[in-house]
Amino acid sequence: MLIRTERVSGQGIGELCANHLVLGLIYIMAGSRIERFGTIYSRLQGLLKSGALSQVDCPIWKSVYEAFPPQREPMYEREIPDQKVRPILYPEDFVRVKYYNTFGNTDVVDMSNESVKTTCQRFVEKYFDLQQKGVHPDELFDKTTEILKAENARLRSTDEIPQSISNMESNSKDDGGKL
Amino acid sequence: MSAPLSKSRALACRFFSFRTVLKNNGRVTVSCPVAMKARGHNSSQKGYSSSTSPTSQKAAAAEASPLSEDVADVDVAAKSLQHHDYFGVRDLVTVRDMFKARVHFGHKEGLRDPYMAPYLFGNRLGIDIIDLDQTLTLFQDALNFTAHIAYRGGIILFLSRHRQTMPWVERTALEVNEYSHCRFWKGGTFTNATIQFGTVTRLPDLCIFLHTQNNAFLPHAAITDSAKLLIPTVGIVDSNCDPRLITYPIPGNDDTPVTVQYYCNLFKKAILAGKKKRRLDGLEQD
Repeated sequence: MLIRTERVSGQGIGELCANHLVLGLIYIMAGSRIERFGTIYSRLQGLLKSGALSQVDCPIWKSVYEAFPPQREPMYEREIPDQKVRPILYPEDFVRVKYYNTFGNTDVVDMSNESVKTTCQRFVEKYFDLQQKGVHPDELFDKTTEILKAENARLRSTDEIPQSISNMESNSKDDGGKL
Repeated sequence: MSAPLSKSRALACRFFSFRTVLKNNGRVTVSCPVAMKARGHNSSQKGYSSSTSPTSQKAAAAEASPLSEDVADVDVAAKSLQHHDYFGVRDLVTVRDMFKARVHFGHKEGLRDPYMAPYLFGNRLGIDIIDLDQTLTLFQDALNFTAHIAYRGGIILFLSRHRQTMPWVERTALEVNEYSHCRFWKGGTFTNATIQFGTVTRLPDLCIFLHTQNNAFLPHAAITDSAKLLIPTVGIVDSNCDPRLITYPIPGNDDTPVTVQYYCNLFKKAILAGKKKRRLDGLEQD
């Protein structure tokens, strides 16, 4: 009795079935198609116990499953778990909120490049650096802004922007007049 | 109803092959029954109730009878089960690699499946973040199981209904000499196989789902079909997927192409490792 197995690689399921011909041994496994009752293993054990399936005819995954069972039994019927999913927040987030509310996001960020720090990240690091050094909490934000401006970071607050635009206009009034 | 052909049955057929007898040095290989008896899974010996599953047995730290020497010789495949990581696949997964591959990104809070809540690390500004520490062990278990099935000559079927990444899934199946079905799933493919294909069919021994959902955001029909026909499943479950019927679920992102490539790569390595050992250990009969 031979099993002609021609493994046709990567073929669809049609080919799968056509290429596996069992000559002489037609073998139908008894089964329980109730997927919502117990697990595949418990139903397999049930078949064994009732005698519908003999030890020899067990599927190949049985011994592997017994040696390496899943961490959780794949039962359909289970209690709805506790839906408490904690929000992920960091102490830096409060600084980030204030930063983005004041300055917005002017950076062009390459997210795949982890070595370049965004302005916000530099701000946050400097903020905590100053906080550790003992700067007064009320002054922290302003001091950090000063330091980063000194380091040539583009930090113009949203209140400053209209002012700077009007400055530019007043500076260029002569040019406008020529046109 | 067609079903997976058991390895023992296949081996029984090979008793008559002269080549087999030579390969095993005159010893005849017998699997399941004797091995099971020696392992103490026979309920009369140890008094285990047959309803005790291996999961709860392991949890209770029940002592298992050691495989006796002569039985170990008889079943070559049984030796592989004694080793925690026979194929070295558990080292293939690392948390850092998973993070780089963006495995931890779930969907938004409103899309969360309630049964996925235990697998989540938390929610970052509305986006569910999957706990990679849990995913690590679950992924290792799944890869180990996959390798063992490949080691025993099982048929593996890759399934996915994600149109964007479907070519990679098909290519992965091609590269490992296994099967894939990334097209529309017809109702009776497993459950009515004999009639639909017009011949006796051997169904897969393992179904690997790269995407557990179909294009209507409902569970893939093959999940229930596999459960019905006692076919174990390995599946990547995102935060909006239902993990209940999947035997070895792997919580992780299933939408990002980079991530799907990462999974395909790992499954490919695991299956090839299993097949390599199969050849080395002399289980390959033809």
